[in-house]
Amino acid sequence: MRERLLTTRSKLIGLILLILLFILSLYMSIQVGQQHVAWHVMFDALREYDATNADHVILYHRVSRAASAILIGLSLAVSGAMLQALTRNPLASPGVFGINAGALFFVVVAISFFSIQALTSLFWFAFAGALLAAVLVYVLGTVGDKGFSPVRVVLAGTAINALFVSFTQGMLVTNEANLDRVLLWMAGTVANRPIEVLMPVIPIVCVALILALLIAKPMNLLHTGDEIAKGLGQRVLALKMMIILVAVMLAGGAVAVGGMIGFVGLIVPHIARFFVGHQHMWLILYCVFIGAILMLNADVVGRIAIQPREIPIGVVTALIGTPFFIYIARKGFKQS
Amino acid sequence: MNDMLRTDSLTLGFKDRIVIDELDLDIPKGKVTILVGANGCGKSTLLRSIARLLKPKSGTIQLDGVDMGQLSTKEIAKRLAVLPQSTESPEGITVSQLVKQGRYPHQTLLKQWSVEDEKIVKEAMISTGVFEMADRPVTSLSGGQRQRVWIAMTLAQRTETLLLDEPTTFLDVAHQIEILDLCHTLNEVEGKTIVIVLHDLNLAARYAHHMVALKNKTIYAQGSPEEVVTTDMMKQVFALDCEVIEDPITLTPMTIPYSKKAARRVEKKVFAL
Amino acid sequence: MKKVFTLRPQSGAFSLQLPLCPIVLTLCLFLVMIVLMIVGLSLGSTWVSPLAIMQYFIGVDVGASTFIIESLRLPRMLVALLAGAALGVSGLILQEMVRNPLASPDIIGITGGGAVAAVFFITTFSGVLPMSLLPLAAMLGSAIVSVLIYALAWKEGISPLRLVLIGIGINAAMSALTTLMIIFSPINSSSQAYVWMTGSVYGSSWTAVQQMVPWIGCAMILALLCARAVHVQQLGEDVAKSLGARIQWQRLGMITVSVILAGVAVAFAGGISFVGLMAPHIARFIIGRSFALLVPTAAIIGGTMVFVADVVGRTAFLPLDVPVGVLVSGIGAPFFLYLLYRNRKG
Repeated sequence: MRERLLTTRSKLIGLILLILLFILSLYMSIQVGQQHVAWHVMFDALREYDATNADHVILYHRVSRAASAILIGLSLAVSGAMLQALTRNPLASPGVFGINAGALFFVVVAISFFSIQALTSLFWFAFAGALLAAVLVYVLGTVGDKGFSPVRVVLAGTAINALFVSFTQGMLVTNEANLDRVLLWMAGTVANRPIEVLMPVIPIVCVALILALLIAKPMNLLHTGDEIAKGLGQRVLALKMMIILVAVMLAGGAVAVGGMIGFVGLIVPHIARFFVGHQHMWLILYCVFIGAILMLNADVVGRIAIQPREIPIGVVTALIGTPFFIYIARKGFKQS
Repeated sequence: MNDMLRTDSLTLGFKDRIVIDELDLDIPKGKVTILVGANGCGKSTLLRSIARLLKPKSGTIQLDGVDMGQLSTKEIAKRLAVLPQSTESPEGITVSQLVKQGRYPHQTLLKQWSVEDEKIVKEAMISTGVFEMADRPVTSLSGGQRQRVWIAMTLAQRTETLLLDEPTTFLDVAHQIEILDLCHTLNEVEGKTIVIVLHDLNLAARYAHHMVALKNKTIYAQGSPEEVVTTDMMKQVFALDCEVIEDPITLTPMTIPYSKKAARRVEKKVFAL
Repeated sequence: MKKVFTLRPQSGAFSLQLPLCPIVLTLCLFLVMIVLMIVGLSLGSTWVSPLAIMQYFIGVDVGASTFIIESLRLPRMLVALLAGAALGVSGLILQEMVRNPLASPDIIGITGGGAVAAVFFITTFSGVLPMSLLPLAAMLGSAIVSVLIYALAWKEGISPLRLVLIGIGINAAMSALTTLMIIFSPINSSSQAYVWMTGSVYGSSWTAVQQMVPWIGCAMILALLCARAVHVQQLGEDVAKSLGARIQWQRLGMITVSVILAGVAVAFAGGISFVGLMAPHIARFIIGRSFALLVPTAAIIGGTMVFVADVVGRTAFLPLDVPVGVLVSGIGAPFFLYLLYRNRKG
């Protein structure tokens, strides 16, 4: 597939446009809602937050939501891009790798066995689950003489995924009360996540993003095949472990914050690749912004579409993303 | 009818780009025809379209005087076999399993493995020298062996015509000769019409009865190797200065290109004088 | 040459060649399945001896046990078996067609379409229309969505990659719709819908078996007929075309068979995942690459996985009856991982 933006200049312009779109989306996400909040109140709240002022509280909630949306969107998108590059399989995503399912399972265990409700504690459970799933997949996918084989990793990933999903389902089916509590979590949501809860996640995601950008250049070589990459002096195994680590940090953080949001990790990388092709530095940057924009807008739509109720954000991302994705899939992939 | 295959004002291309423009080409029956030309001149595209793997933008291709568009693809497969440039052997397939697939156009839902099929597959493997490795996985073979297995598959098709797209790429010189000798034998012994796209001009001149040089979306020269391989053609088609001498073994034309290095040696000689 | 079995009667009317060793393996698997079925029919809240079950099958009157076997356990087991077999073969065909080991009816949206229709039916019409219409709704759903995917993927022919990508896109939209409906419906119908999505054969009747058999039987035969197409397409698009294969028609045929199988399974057993993805891989580990044998093997393995999971689900957690979909991957995934580990040298 040929990318649409060929020159560095056009890629840069595209990125700037994306950033503008991102800022616009961010503004929208803070402004739009059931309750209108005036312009100047926003600045007042920034300068001096007043917890007794209703408008300020609304703003606080909206900013928190926007922050979770951005965090989840960019983490999942970049994580998906890394995993697709790693396995050279367009169907790879954090979901396929069992990372989502591992996290969800641990959360369900925490809720039903340890009666934990606090989001900060749940976050660490989710992260542990994500890590465990990824380590299992990695070990099972790499044992053997041939070392790391993309197909084996992907197969191990789907099996681990199925295993955790089935554990989770088992616990939910046998306990209906939990189902109701976990259902929203399963559908994915950014509501009611005060910004303090995000604090432990932000540094993890930031570190992972920096790492991702650092290994972006060597990752370009993976696409040409292991042997060529090795021949060019790349320590392929170390690189692959690095990719997995970064992908898990990102996906684990995202699941911990927002639950199972499936669509973003799988499809945003394809959208980004449509524009910038296989250069990972650009791909990662584009994924960051496209993922964030998609999530911010999905959140706004979910909030206002059928007031007073809310549509979970995972549902909205899928519903707005799909037509666009299908358009690109038809347009972009010519070869068999 | 002496022409097995002929194209009539054939135009090929992708989207807006035209690769071959209004080309008329006759491929003589029972001969080895070799297509040459610079990289990207459309010789592989031409071969693919003759093999109906690529739809022409306009014009027709005739097989024994019949428009190929009128024939069913299975009918064509019984008369014309193709070995594409890049082949990928499925994981775990053995040599005999792969060669057997060549019988596909001759089989039906009910008749999947007749005595005749078995005989032909065996013959194809013997004549390409892969019979000894019939049960080995294709992926475990060397490049030259693998190529012979694929040729055996096309032989099992039992066609009068065989099209090969750069069959010697990635092979060492001994295997290149081996593959082309095999083509030569198939032509001599079985009278097959063979069309090859080849990069190596000296080997092309050695094995071809009929050579076709492509340039600028059309034919630059065609005829016997002696007629086609000239210093002038080399200059025009490949933009390369060279001497054409006689191949000491087959007496066919052989090109010796000039290069910077050669030029220095000539200069030295001049100084010595 | 390897040992092969050649079927070629004197008249020459038909001929067929199959590798010998895998045939034996397939037959062994079949026997294992039969034994497991008898054991499965014995187990339950009331123990029925395996001897009584064999007597029942050969027509000896076994008294009170007849009711347990005939009305309770056998139809349920057969539905599980048929659904698993159908999913296994459906996944096998899809994986071969798109040449991607991750393809399966639940990934490319066929199951998703059924789920949307079924959940819609449960949340809107439960109590209004009889539940016996649910399978019809689910089947219709998968059929419509499959046609949609195929149409959207068409562009001077179907390319497997495009088909899969569009499939996962549509699947994402479908699961979003399903989630939406579940969240907005009252808790009792949402848990009913959730059980359906997980996959369950609870309360299956002989009517279900009767409705499934013709569809699955025909589709299985058609699947076997795909063998030649599958093998020739494995050589790559160019070679397949040059051998005279009409690959677009073959692809349409394969997709149709796969959709019928998955659609029927989803209709009667709900959204059982994992089987469609894994049964083909397990079959390949055991049998190799002969498609004509992979079809029955994937069917046996898929079917066995589902009915064994169902037996465990209805007996191990008494008095609970755990939906089969929960246990399918609970049992299947470790087995698959073991195979993956054992085949680490290959």
